Amino acid sequence: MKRIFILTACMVMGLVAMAKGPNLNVEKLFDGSYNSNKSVSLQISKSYGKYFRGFTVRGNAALVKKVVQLFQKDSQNASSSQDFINGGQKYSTMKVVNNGQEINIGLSYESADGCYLFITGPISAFE
Amino acid sequence: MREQNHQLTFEETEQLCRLYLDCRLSVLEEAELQYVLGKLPYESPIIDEVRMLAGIVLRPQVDSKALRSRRRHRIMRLMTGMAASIVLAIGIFFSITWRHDVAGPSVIAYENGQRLNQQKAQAAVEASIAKAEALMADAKAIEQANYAKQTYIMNISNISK
Repeated sequence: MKRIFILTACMVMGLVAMAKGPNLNVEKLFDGSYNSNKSVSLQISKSYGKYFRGFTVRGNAALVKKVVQLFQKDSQNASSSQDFINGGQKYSTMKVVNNGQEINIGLSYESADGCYLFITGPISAFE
Repeated sequence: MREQNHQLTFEETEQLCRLYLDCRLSVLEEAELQYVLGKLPYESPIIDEVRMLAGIVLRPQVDSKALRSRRRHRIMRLMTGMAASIVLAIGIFFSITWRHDVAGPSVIAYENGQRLNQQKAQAAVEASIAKAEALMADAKAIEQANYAKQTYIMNISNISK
């Protein structure tokens, strides 16, 4: 019986270890270093199994460049990615699969010095 | 001798072994002694020597009832262990799920370098989610329109062929 308990505990620990975070580069924008940045507004929400993060830049071309770089880095690991131009506005989207769950990441280029990025998906995809 | 093997005492067995070693037993008696030594649990230097010379291995008598009850006990232990493991796994699963559900919503928002209060943060998050959903819906609509266009073009090219 002891052996079965140990085996089960090992299996559970293995499953926990297998459930890794997605290690998204765009998540670096939410590590707290931009909280006091006046050209940024950001939103973080964990609500009833759903995870959402929004990051808006206004009047900061250098930061827009950084956001685009981080987004492009993540798009290399994406299961799918697409670029659209609608009404003169460019919008890029990608899907990243983690723990068997889909994470949607979108980036809207709102002007030369502004953009809007969001990350959303089930909480289990981020653990 | 075979009929009497249950009545042989330790001393009698030792005596027979001594006779065996002195080569004073007939071939038939030797065979019967070997048979008896394979069954009786007696042990002494002289008995063991005869056993060794005759190449007899004393097998412990297996009690089928005890064996069955031991097997049943092992199965019961295994089943109990498995049941306990399943309960443990379910418990861990529900504790993780419970953590997510009971933790409730958490909302944080910053604007112009300032943290918003709970009410404003909630409104900002809702607006941001609505914007993200609108963008995703637009992207989906464009994707579907492109797919419909591609299908239409392919159908036309197939018809013209």
